Amino acid sequence: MEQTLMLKQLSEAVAGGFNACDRMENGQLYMLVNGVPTLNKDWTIATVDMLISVPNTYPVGGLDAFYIDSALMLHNGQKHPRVQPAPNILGKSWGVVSWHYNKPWSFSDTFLTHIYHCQDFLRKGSRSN
Amino acid sequence: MIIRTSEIIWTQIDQILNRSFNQNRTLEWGIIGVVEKLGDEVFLIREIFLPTQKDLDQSEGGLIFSSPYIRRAQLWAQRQGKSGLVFFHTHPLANDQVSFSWFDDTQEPLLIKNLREIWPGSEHISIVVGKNAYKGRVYLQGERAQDLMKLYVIGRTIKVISLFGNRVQPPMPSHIFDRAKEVTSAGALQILKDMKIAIIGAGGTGCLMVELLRRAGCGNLLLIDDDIVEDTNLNRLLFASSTDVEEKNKKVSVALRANDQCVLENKLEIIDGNVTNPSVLHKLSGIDLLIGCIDKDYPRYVLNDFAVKYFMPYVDLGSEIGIAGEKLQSLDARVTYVYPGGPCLNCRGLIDHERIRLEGLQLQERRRHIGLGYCQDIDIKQPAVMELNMRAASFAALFIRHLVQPFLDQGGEMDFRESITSMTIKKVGLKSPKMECAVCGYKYNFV
Ligand SMILES: [Zn+2]
Repeated sequence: MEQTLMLKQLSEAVAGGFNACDRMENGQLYMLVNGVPTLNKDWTIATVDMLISVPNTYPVGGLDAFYIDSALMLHNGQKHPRVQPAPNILGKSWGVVSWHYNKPWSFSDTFLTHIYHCQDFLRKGSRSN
Repeated sequence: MIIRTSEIIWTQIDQILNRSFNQNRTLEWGIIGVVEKLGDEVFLIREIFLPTQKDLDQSEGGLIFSSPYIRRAQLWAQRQGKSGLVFFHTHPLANDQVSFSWFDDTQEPLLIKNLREIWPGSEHISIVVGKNAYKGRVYLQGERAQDLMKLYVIGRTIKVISLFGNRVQPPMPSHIFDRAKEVTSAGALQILKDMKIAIIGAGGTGCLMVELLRRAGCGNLLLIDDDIVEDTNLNRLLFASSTDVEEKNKKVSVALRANDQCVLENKLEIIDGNVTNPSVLHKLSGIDLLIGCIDKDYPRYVLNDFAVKYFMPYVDLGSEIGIAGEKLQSLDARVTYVYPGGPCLNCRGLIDHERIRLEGLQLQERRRHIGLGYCQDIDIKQPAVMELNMRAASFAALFIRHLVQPFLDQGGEMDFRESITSMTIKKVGLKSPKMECAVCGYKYNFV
């Protein structure tokens, strides 16, 4: 993806109140968002780190799903059923969240709108499905 | 240098200019358009400003465009960051030969000088039109006027207008093409010989296209691919051998070697690269016809976008073998033609954005996404055989002949799919007919 577009969309995410930055591992570009508010009392923690893989065909190829800090737990001591185990990325342990769109990715979608979309999962807490 | 425009725009220009030849052949008519430079060799005409009666002063034996008319076009073009203007005017008494008059030679440089004072760096074109002849010249930055060679009109067919000022008789073709002249006449053959054709993808379908187009008389081919030859390609890659596999030779090198060994006089240039790389894509600027023979969706998206943006005729082809369990379900060959004003690959539903997302992820990351179970596995090697590729390539090559010398009854909205299993040929409709296409802006409005 173009450097200028990435910087534009990262700044937009930062302006939207998210601590977002770009990271690269094994040739794969990621957007790392630290300390995203979890917005629901079902979770044991108030903020959580999020990781989103960005295809090099972005923005034609859109964003989908995301990784979440493996520390994210529900109060019942369980992980959310939509969170599946994932390998270490950037030296940190994650779970991958199977969280998708029901409409095609469009050119009006951005890094920021995707973070909102992922935060919806958190907002719904244990009711997320 | 050449000019390219669309059939839709050309029809409007032609209607205005034809007034000189339909009526009593005394009045000069003219029209102003906007030009945009693409690379070093091509000017595009995408916008025209239709003149009203008061925009043209036809009284003095020489046509004068009114200042407000020129100003209207200039302001718009300059604001839009275009390269300059194009001025068409007629010489009503000229038939098979036309040239710039003394009046044109004295007035035009003044007009250009004035334009450059208010619009520094602009480059302008002038075309004088007779009943059956056209002559064109371009005023490039800091240079004297230069002759223009051709105007390509791209639509359901490709029309080539010579800008040399006379009706050019095509030279006698080589005897090699004697048996094909009923399908492709000397004039059409000359177009194929001069046209620069880029074939993107040198795999099972691309290598066949190179072979068919050389033998159809296409003189300037460019082949682009960055793949090496693998042993699983040998069932369908023309001229490739096990030595190429051992030596990890590029597919484009195999095609070049075969081309060099053949007596046909075509040129074949190769690029070891991928069109998703902007510097490779840029090399397509001077191309007159694009042929897509690729099985990935992102490069096809890039090509389609490029063709739509720059009024390039684009023939995309492919074949697909469908398997359900162990059973062979379908054998399909497809050829699609994209041209300005017509639907593109995107609105025809031939580009899958989910695939583009997956193609853009690194292998490990992609495997994780596919593992979530929400998308198709794009890493499975699809079955492919030469004879099915041949169905698509053969039809595409015939269709390219048709573009320069029409013979198909329904050549228009070309999106054709042949099913070998059901022995049927059908035209394919649009995927989302009610939506406006995000790539080409096409709205479903044909039956
Ligand atoms: Zn379209």
